[in-house]
Amino acid sequence: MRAWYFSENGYPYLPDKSEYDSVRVSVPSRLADPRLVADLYDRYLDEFVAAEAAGFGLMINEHHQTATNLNPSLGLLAAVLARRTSTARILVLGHQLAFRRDPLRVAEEMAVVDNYSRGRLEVGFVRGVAPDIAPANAHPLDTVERLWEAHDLIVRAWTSLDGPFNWESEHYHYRQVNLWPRPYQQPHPPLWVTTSSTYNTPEIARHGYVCATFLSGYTLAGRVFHAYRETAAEEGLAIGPDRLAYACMGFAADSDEAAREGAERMMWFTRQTRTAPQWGRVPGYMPTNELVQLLRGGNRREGAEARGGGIDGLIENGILFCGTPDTICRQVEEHFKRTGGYGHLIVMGQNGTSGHEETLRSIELWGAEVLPRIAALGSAFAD
Amino acid sequence: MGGLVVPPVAVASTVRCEAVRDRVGTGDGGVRLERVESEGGREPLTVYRGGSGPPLHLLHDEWGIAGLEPLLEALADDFAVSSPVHPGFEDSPVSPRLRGAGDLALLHLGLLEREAEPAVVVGLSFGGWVALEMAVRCRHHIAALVLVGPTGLRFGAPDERNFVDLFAHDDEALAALLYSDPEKARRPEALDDEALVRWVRNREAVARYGWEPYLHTPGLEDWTGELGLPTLLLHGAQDRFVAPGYYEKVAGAVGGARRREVPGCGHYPHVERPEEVAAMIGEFLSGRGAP
Repeated sequence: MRAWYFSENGYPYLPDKSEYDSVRVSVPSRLADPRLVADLYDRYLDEFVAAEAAGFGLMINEHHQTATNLNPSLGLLAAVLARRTSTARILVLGHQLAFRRDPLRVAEEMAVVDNYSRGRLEVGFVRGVAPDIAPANAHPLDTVERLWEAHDLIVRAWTSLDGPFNWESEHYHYRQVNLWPRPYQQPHPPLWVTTSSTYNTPEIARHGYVCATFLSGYTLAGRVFHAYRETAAEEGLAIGPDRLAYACMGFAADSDEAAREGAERMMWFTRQTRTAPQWGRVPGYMPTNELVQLLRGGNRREGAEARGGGIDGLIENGILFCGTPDTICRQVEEHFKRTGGYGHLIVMGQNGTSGHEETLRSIELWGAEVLPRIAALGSAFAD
Repeated sequence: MGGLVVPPVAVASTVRCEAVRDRVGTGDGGVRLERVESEGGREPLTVYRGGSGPPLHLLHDEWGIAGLEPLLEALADDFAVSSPVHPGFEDSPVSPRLRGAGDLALLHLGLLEREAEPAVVVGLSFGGWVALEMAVRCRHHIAALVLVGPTGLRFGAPDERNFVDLFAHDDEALAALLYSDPEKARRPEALDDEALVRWVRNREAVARYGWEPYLHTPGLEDWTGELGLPTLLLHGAQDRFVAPGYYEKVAGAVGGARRREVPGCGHYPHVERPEEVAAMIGEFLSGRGAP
């Protein structure tokens, strides 16, 4: 099992939620104190470095115009990590390709970071989540098509070594594509795609990329992994668990109680802030019947149901692994078994108001007492 | 679609099979509207029609055609009204060749060619944008233009919002911004399941046709000055969807346009005061000695 440490790196110093309309998209930037932001950037970097020492790979993501995440640019943070770390692999998961107007810029930046890190980069592509549509003014229709179209251009740009080529696809037009420099890893860094449903999973499987699913509990994660393996079987591809990744929330402490308290603090954004509905309910971004159900108040995601059940609900649903290392190992093993197994565990180890010292302790405990014990998991599927 | 736009060459009408699906409307005033499904052309079309008299071709707004029956019926007293559902709205399938307002204009111009005489073209809000795109391309089949709260033109500095961002507010805030009487808002809560699916499809269609540039064609004003058509520009006196003074600028940009306010209405006077809007249209056209 390869473990990755991740945090959304949020800004948890907002006033009461009654004082602003939405934590995402429209939250006024005067609420962000630049000195506190700079302090948080320092602190979060220290936590990533500690995670490297603990044996984790490092995962980062990108969101825009939000207090929940201070990283609007994967390329920038990845470059900083490339120089602050020396051995950890760096996973960017992922570029919101459907929302980027210039896929070549993504290809360029990733090639640069791969060189700065001497080949430690792994690159993820995602469609992008609904609240990031308004910030990019991204067209909400045809996002899956644009994801793969941009992907095709990026991979071609990384691997085309003989001078300029032409590219005029439906959404992207260039006449002299000639990427300099090319990536350090040849032909290119390993690729990942995240999915939150089974819809996109077969395409990911056909490309042989690592398929990651986030906070999807037991049922949905199981379905995604099953869909991947089924497609691989249909295509005659022999694959191993290293094609599958599960992202959980994770918090370790010296007692189960202390871990629960830390996990409660991780929930600050979920409980103490709101996102105005229009930013999440963008017409055309999801299938018609899904938006209809959303408007009717239905929400089948385990995460949302679990949030109603508090920390216990999250643990029960396999979204949060929380407790002493012993407790966590049991939780991971159960999740691994029930979902059929996977080769990557991404641990969201900090969020909300969980503090620096307790986060460092959690990282230390994970590294010393969880990772060695779950290392053997993921060498084979569970079933 | 940038660059050269070629008006459509008149072609022989494709034979369409039409089937009347049902009768719609309030039934007041004795006018019955039909909903007709038309096959055989490039796109299957749903068309609402009724009444008799000179042809009037109505282009519905961004909220679809539900709720427009009172206006259609009022107009049907004096005109043979035809209102095709823009493909992608309501139940009608999306057509891949219709990517923007300009393409919709080509579709509607093709329909006008089948009329025996030039038609009055009435465009409501988003439909007004399509009507302008039709008029700048070809006026042979247009007798007169009526624009009710049209979008389509944009004025001012980059940070001057011309139109409320329909995707940036919750339903309650939108109702207050768009209507003088928010009770008139076409909102999702009151809808049954089938109607809610159509409501969502309408929102998808607005995104499809009008996302960016937002509800307008940059540079359209370079062509609207020389339309040479009798043009009536109507808008609600309390229209908060547009920036203050917007319709004065539209009147200046659309050659020959006569601007009139509909009192007591927000952005959709055709929903809030349909009979008055129909009367103002009738008045304008008879005043012009129109067909």
